[in-house]
Amino acid sequence: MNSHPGLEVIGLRKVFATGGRRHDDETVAVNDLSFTIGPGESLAIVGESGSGKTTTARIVVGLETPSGGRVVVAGRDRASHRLSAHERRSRARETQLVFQDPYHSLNPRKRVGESIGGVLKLHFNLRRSEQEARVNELLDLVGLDERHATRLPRSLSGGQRQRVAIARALAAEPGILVLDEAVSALDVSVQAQILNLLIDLRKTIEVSYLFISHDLAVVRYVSDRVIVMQRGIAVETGPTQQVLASPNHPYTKALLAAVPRPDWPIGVATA
Amino acid sequence: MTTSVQRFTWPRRRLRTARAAARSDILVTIAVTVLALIVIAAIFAPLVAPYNPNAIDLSAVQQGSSAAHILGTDENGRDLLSRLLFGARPILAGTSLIVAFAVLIGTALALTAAWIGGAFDTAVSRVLDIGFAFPGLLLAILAVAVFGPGLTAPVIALAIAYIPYVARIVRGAAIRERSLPYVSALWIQGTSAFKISAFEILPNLMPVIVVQATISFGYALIDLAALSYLGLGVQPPTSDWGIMVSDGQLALLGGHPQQSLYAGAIIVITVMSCMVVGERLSARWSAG
Amino acid sequence: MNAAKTDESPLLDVRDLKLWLPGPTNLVPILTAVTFAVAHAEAVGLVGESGSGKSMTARTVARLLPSGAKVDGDVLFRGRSVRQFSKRELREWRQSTVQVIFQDSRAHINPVRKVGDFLREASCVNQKIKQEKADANSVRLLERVRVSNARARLDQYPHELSGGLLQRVMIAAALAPSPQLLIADEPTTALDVTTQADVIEILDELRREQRLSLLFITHDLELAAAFCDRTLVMYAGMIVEDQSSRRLHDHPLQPYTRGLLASRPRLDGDLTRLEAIPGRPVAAAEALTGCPFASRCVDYRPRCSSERPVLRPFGGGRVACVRAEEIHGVPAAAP
Repeated sequence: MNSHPGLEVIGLRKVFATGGRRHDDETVAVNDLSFTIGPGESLAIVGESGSGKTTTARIVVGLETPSGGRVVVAGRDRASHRLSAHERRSRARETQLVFQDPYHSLNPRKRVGESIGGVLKLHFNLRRSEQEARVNELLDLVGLDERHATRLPRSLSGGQRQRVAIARALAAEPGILVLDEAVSALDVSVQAQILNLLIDLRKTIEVSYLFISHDLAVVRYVSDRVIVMQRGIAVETGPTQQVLASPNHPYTKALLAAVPRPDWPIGVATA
Repeated sequence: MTTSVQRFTWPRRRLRTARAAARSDILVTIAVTVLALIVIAAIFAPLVAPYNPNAIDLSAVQQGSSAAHILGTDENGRDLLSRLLFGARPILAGTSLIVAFAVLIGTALALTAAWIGGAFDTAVSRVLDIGFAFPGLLLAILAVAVFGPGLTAPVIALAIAYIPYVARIVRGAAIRERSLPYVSALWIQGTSAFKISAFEILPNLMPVIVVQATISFGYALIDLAALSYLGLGVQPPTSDWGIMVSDGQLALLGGHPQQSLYAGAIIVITVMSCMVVGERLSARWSAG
Repeated sequence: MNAAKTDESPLLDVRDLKLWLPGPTNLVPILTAVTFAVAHAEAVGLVGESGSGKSMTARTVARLLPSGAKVDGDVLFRGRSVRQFSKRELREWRQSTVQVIFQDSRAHINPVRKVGDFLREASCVNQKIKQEKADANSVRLLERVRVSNARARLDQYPHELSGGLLQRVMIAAALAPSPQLLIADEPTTALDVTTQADVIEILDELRREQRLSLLFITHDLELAAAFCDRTLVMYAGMIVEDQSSRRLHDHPLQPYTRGLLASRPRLDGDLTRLEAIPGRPVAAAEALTGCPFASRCVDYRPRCSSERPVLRPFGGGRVACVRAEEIHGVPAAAP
């Protein structure tokens, strides 16, 4: 496994032009965000739509370039320009992303073994037998078995596809796994399985999580620390248990109050 | 979240249900059979044709169907069936070249524009718009005026004219496909843009491309036949469906419709079969 | 409160509903046995995961099915069979008595017409209100769903409104003809959690005010249990539990319901590993014999594979489980 890098985000800023004719028609998606993730840690970013949490995830992984601020991975500043294939490849061994949509995050024409094998081929020089063995190892790690390697995505359920997506992400042996609403599109009973898998994985292999979600209860299970974001700004941060048990910021309180409970909803405060 | 009731069918079962669906769709079966027969007949024309298509027999001029000549003869006594069989070759070959060329260039252009996006994509779209504005037939006639009649100039001109049709559809599909997370996942891995476009996105666009190619084949066939009809395509004595329609016009007025009729009919049948197959494929693949 | 007690017969009575939809080669069963009732001014939650058939149940009740669908059983509205309605009766029924709200509001509103036009149509439909009055009416409707700047909104287009705002407009439109039954199919699933809370609060307030019956479809058991009077849990095309929401939360009767409640992460309580239900949710066509939940049930016994459970009265509600008595001991007395 990779010697574990940390992730440091300093003063991150991302501005999108909203396509208007005036120069000041722009949206600040992320505004001066800073956080660190140490080896083996799990940090969650929680927020609603427009909070900037997904943009942050995409910047960390290299899908978007920041407008300002720095992203430091393994002690090295990550470039802010559009990355070349070679740069992306080396970044892939540090940060990986699991997407929200299990139905479109795998190439529909490639068998599971090929999708995972493709990643292995890109980063490692393995003989065919070694590659096959490694694919099976990864499938086993995510709770699937060898038979799944020859299946096409369309014959797999949402939960199984998400497991494959996790296996594919782990194939590159990244230090940091970014999960962008990775369980939000799954049925509740399947969501629990994947959450358990994520909790177990952290005990088995050395990997940190950057867990993006809108769901506070889910975040409670999977993360050590949490950042609450609203419209691009981190409004509250701290150990997850603490923030959820005694929130300080009114927005965090509003988020908590909005979670359906038996003694609800009359008179819910709005943000 | 909705469940598709077909979601968990194993691959082999899907093929069986697809065949079953095809069987129940008589029209498509007929169309495919017709096309297959025409192509086979064109390829094996020398073996299948009863007469030499250029064999003049002035004793058997303008005959209707008979035992000796199943489809009759033309004004020079040449056997119509043989002329139709041999006449399939230039037109089918020409149309195939047009479609192949348009699809190759159009797809490459579309994929590149879809991937690069931005100003390049806008520029390509504008160029394609100009291409749409120019009727293919007109371009072909111009090409013949400049380069002389025959198959080469019309084929190249029509191929260029058909590029925008293919490119536009493929570009739309490529843009949609590119926005899917699996492409982002490949990008994160460090796969090059070329490899993603060519080996990951392109295979997923095949249904769209095949449908577009099939339908373009039908249209291109009409265009090429029209050019031959105008005398701008292959030159006599080579037999060609378009020429036969033209040659038979005078005979038609004289009460001998067989040449124009059969040539015209075979063009219509071929084109319609293409359209039926293309349209059904499109319906099946967009629904499935 | 009084009307509900004096009028004991249910507003909506669904009896042994079965549904098949056309598949690639033959008809595919979607609903196998759905029986439930919604009383006047009652909010009933219909909860299920993928393949449960909850959405299709709503569509069958409202007769919004694709061609080729086959329906068996009956849907009675105030004692009259909806399935027997003539085209005209059906249209009138759908315009003023029953209203449906969908998950994706943008797909159900014409994007090239203004919000004001949409609301005017909704109010005028059976009531022949004149234009000026219609606009005043629309403003009133929007204010009731707490849309700010109501008059200005009438001149806006759907794309200028956020998801939550648009959903509120849909609710306003749905309530305009003063319907008796509102069917809401995952109306808040696509919304942010704070927006969802707002919308739910509005729905709740309005339905109590208008004494509206509500059939609320969702995949979120907590949500249904929080704001509906009664909750029905569906699995693989059949109803497996039917209880008052409060009781369901504390005393789930069916192992599937119990499993669902246990597998949901909580904001309180111990942080132990989640008790996930193994396997994945199935659709009706995949589980036509025995109990559809058998393969995933912790309380499984061999008889569960052969006996088909039927929804029957138990412990103050209804449950579809052949082992209910064994699992719970003596059934609790009805409240």
